[in-house]
Amino acid sequence: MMAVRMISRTSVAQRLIHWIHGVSFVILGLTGLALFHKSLFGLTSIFGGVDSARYLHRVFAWIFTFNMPLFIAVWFKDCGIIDALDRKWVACGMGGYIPIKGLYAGCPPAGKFNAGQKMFYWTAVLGGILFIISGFIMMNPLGLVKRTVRVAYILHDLATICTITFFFAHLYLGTLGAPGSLRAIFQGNVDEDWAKHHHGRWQI
Amino acid sequence: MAEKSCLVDVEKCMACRGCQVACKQWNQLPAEKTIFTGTYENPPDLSANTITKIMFHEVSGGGKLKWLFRKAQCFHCTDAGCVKACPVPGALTKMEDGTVYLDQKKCTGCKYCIISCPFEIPRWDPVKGKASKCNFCYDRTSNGLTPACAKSCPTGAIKYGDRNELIAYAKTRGGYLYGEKELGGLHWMYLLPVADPDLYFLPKEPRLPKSLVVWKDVLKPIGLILGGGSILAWLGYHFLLMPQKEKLTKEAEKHSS
Repeated sequence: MMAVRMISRTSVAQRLIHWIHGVSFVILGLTGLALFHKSLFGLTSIFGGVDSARYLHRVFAWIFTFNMPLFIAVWFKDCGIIDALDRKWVACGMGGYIPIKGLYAGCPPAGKFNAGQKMFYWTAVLGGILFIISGFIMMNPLGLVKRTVRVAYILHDLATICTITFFFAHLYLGTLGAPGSLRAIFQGNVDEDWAKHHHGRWQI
Repeated sequence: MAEKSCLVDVEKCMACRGCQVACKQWNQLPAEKTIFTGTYENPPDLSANTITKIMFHEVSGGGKLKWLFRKAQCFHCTDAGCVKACPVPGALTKMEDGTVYLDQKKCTGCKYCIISCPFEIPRWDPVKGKASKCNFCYDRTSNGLTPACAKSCPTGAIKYGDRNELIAYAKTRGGYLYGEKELGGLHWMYLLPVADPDLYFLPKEPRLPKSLVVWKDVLKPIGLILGGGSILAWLGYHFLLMPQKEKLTKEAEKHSS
């Protein structure tokens, strides 16, 4: 049986920076959600109480912040540029992920990264920047106009809602939703068949 | 349990500031180093360690000078902004008697309450890393005692008792009762000689900040629904729609190859 060719998909830098981003996001998300609503306050027990949870949140906030420009840079070429074919891919039901037969006909294959992934890149980037600015205001609120701080609370929650709902999609589609995808962000390569099936336009 | 309140008859207050001292003594709060700013009003503002004080206002008009005094402390609102803002269960609690109780043991120091109070009452204690405000001497009132400030007041300007009885009494006196209905009803009310709260540095129509209400009552429930809903949605997608997607894309691939 002929072995399938493995194609390199992500660089070491992309993976390292993605995982710093992702791990930070999960810890920030869990420690943050604990204060998002009283019904979720129990999440603080994962971290040894509310004070430890807040301390971790502030530590990882700095890690997330310094990693952010690296993240923006290292993923921009693959995920930051949306073209006309990406828009067509969206229009035909997210490349079939929303299976509507009438829409799917004539759907262009996705490039190295599909439009959904590119939308997630921009959600993560813009959401991340919003988190950083509003979060910094929330860390140092005294001396600022109080209404500005209350707006920061709202923006921080808006970024939470946008990034976390999209994050569940990312989690699902990177694992159950598209088998064979996970190794792209761990080992950094994928098999040729997976590449041709999911990203037909990608010049491998 | 009946709600209790304090009613401050401002015309009886002579700014002796026994209340400031009694409060410090009962709550074991340190004195504050301060500077002379041209008035007997001292300290110039509430702080983490000064949770009540008398505000002075000199008003001249019609050839007369009035020297007005108004005791400032937490208003113990029924619809308290601090309680709404606080993310820690049990750190800020509305008690049955109307007290808004700040438990510093539970406070994590996020400062949401400081930012959200329409009267700007809670203050930051940088030494303890906690918020701080008047707790209505809850440790006294829950044991049948009068708050320290009310007990110390030599003129009887501060009356502590059943809220409804105090309101009924205030109405027999004439003048203007501040705090009956504001923010659902304040548990520190003021009997003013004229309907001019501004004169006593009282905001005329205090309201919860709109941004606070939008944040807690609109945005957060939407967030919980979208968040929880999206987890369910992806589970549903995997079992209901993914097979359709596989069919669709595999068919197209067969036809194109």
